[in-house]
Amino acid sequence: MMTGLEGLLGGFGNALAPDLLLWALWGCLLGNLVGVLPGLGSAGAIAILLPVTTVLPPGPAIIMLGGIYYGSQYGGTITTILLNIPGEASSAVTALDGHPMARQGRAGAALGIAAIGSFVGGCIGTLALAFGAPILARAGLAMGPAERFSMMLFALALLGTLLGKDAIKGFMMAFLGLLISTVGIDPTEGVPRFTFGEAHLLDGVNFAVAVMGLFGLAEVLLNAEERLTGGITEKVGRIVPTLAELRQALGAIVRGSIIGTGLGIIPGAGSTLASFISYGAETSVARDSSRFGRGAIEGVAGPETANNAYANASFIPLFSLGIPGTGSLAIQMGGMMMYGITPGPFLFRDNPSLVWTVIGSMLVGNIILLALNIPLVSIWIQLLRIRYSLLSPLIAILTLVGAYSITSSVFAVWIAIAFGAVGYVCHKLRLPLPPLVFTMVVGPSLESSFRRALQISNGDPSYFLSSWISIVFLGAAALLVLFVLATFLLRRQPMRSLATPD
Amino acid sequence: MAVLRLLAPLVIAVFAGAAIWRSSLYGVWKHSAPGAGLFPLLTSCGLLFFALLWLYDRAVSKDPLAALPEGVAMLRVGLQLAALVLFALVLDPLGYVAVAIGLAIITAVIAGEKNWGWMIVVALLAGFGVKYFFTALGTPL
Repeated sequence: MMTGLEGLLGGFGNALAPDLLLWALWGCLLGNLVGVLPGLGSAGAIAILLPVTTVLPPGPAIIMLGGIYYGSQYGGTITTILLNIPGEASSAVTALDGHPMARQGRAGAALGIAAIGSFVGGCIGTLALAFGAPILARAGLAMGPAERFSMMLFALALLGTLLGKDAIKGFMMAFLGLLISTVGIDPTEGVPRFTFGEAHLLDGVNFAVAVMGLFGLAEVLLNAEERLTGGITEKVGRIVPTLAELRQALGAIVRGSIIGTGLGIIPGAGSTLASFISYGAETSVARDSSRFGRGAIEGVAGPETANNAYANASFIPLFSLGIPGTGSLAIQMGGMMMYGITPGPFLFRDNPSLVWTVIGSMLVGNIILLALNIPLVSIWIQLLRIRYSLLSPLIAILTLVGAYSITSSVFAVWIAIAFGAVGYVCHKLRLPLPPLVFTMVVGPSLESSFRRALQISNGDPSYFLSSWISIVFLGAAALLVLFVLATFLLRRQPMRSLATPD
Repeated sequence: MAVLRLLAPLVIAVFAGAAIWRSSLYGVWKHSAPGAGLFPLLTSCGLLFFALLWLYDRAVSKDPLAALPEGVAMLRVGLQLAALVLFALVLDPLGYVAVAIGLAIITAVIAGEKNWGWMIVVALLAGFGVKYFFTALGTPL
């Protein structure tokens, strides 16, 4: 395997090829465009735009998907600052100071510092990915099916536990996702499971179609109910922050980068946790913490940097171990699998050129985003003036047509509508979607590792306790689940929520 | 109200119970190796367990019920869902453009749009624009 530096330099060089640059640019632009739509969030943006990438070869498609991912992250920031409508939970903390800044006529400075912080955080997160992921992947290669199963179980337990007071519902959704992932022909024996005679289900529930319904159509149904509106800030002000503002935000950007990158390595920690911890750190180190909540620039710089550092660093467990830490990343992983690329320990060994090009393109993508967002802010603002009642029909049509385009079958449209209804109900019942999406995508490899381990051991379940790695992961997973159950059953006191969905 | 509070976890518990029964039919264990039904059986059991915990939580909890839509809002959600279902039903017989234009107008009206000029522009964009876009991407509609 290549070293981190060799790989990164090679990948960066490859990513600068004109065609790949163009796809990264398109991805960032489309991600920005869809991410700007209020309430949609990055998971929704990726889900809706997934079909657009299907016509490309794997490399450009994955690069474009990556562009959509971080483009949509920044798009959410624009809505948060200007409309006070966070696209997702991780942006909610940005609204605390970002929107007051906008109301003071400093929206431009808030957006500018968010773009700069996102760039720095994103670059540091990507460097951590380049140097950390190959090491972790080497450890992953040494794992057998028992260790891989235990590790995925641990990641699942961690993801559920970090949902805090929603942990019980999170575990329930995770099991529901696992069950959905078993629909279709069993890969070992060829037995059709839960297909009920429907030939379209023999290949299983198409993951991309399901997430398009869960996020895209659910959003349309929510808008039908709530008729989303927002008052746009008229006076934006200067886009490039002043030197004094930059100096003020520098510490927050450094701290946000460290917090976001550190948390990105932990599957399931969530960008929400990263941005909240960063905001907490800023309020605690500030000389005058009373400025926070009234338009303190550090309150925008820290969380936005942490959020983007997390977004890039969270590719470490995805690329090296095949564990997506957030709902958006699970969709990203599903997209990669659609192109025949399975994230995990074998990725660096089997597709080194591709994976390093993708990592190199992340650096390029961060530069593109910075270059795009400073001059394009005024265009995004114009876009935000479009009424949601005119955007909602386009989201509905793009989602339905996107679902159709993946399989060229009306059955996919039905699946998208069914999952749209499920997504809407889940939203109303406050059932977290990330565990469902996570297990839908890792379910097949979890089952395959589980069955292979039992086949190797002639059905002896003690095989799962035959290695220290497996024992540690299983023990930690058991402790997490016991902790959740004990908290739930004994105290009946809701835990403080550490992270909210994605 | 109590029934409504418990309805969602009950539905999931019943669903999990049905999945347990169905999984057992696929063969749980064959020749000292797991059968096709073992993994779905274990996940259904897990689903049932956590659905029952949620049911218990809903039964003893004093938290307010999730904000379900009422009156006109509920009607709008129902209409939107019906419009989506209608789209899937008539897509093949009527063709993409007509159905997409219809869905776009209905969705805009449900979402509260009152400007018919803009509605028609969006509907045409949804019909012809999206068709052109996806055809260019290699998916004829």
